Amino acid sequence: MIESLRLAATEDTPLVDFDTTTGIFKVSGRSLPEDALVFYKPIEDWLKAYVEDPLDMTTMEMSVDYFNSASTRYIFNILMSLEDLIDAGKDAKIIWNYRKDDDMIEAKGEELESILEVPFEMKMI
Amino acid sequence: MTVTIVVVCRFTHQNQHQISGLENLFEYYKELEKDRLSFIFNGDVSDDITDGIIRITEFNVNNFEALASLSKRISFIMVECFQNVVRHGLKSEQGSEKEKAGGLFAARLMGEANYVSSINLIDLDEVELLREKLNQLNSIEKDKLKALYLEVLNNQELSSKGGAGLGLIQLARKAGQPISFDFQDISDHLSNFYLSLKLTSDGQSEPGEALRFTKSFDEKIKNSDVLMIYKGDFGKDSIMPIIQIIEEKVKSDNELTSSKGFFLILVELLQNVSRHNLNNISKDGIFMITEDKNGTYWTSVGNVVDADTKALLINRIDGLNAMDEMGLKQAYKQTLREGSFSDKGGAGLGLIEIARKSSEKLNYSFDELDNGNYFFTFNVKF
Repeated sequence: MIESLRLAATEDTPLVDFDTTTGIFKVSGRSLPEDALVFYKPIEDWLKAYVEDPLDMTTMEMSVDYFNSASTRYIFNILMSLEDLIDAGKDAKIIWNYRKDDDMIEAKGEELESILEVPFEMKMI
Repeated sequence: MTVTIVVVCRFTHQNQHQISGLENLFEYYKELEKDRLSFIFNGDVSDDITDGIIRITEFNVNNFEALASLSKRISFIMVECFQNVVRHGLKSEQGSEKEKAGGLFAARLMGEANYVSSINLIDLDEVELLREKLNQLNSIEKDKLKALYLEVLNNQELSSKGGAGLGLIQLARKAGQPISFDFQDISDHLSNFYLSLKLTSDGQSEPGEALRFTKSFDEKIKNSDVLMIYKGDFGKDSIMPIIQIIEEKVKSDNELTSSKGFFLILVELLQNVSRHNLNNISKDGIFMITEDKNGTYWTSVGNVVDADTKALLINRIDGLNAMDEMGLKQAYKQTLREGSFSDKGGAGLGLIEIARKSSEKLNYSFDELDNGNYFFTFNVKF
């Protein structure tokens, strides 16, 4: 099993905590990097390796506050990797956390839910 | 799963014209073209954004060799000048005064000469005392300023505004030159207080020169709908402090959803300039936020593009303007699900996001420049 991935949050990148001992993967905070590739490429590479040898159950907990369009596609790709897990016969789900008064993040979640074929839970926090 | 995308037809360029009443970004660009950095803040300012101002200046100053020796002094002077506006800016009384609350703060770095200036409203009663104080400071020899500073520091009679006169003394010490100032009565109890400093690498300047240079421009901005103008580098290190400044401002003024929407448009617009720039090294651009007579916010960004980029932008923006809300949503989903990465890293999602968040069709214009390039202005209403 691949080792857990942990990246501390910065001014313009989110906290990433993909724990392979529990199967709880978290992304939280804001993602505004101008050059999103630099930040997200290592995460994509890590996920590619994880999908080769995954846990039976993977839960992706998204608690994003804000993300720019350059990040959107990468976040989408991260969520897409859960589709690969399901295709491989494993269990996976996405929990999309949003604040009660944050219509924007709620709408983003609903939009992603409608294009992803992964169990998707909208959760007001 | 495939989604049929709306066929993009070339729209008539009805949106290409400047909206009447909206401040014209190109006019300001021409005025500020030679500035390496311009940062102008008009209206209600607060201490919250001081940190952001320091970061913008330090980055710009440190990355320009000719300014390196001035670095500490410029940052210091900017902050003192700025906080002078914060502390002494009178709020105009509701209804009774037409003037904007708060003041104006402007910093313009040109390399050879650098200007920091401010305008703020003060009580007419304070004018004479302040004039006397400034004249005194300007006449004192430099080595005696320190003694004066220490004297005031130990004096218990602090000004009720918290400034204690120390700020002005410090300004005079660091500037190493006379402070240019002026007053202009605007009513029977209020006066505009103009302050201006010019800093050069050799430290030389004519008394009053700074004020002559900045006063008419500062006044023009103060009386305009402009809330903020930034001209300079649009790379990450410059943009993040600006985003921070505006986020502080917007957060305190609005409810969460609308401030987030505004913030989103802003980030996309600023990063768009950074991505689509002729000069990949300096990433120069200009941006301003205005509040029109109806209380509507506009964000305008501008930068220089070549003819190919112009054609591409017209095509894409007109395409987005031809779509309705559903069409934009579909385009967004399709781009997300199937679109290939753009080589600029933006994946085309940025413009679609802006179009979706904007409360009106996207407005833009191109002004032809002497060298065959174009100045691209993009106005987004929020």
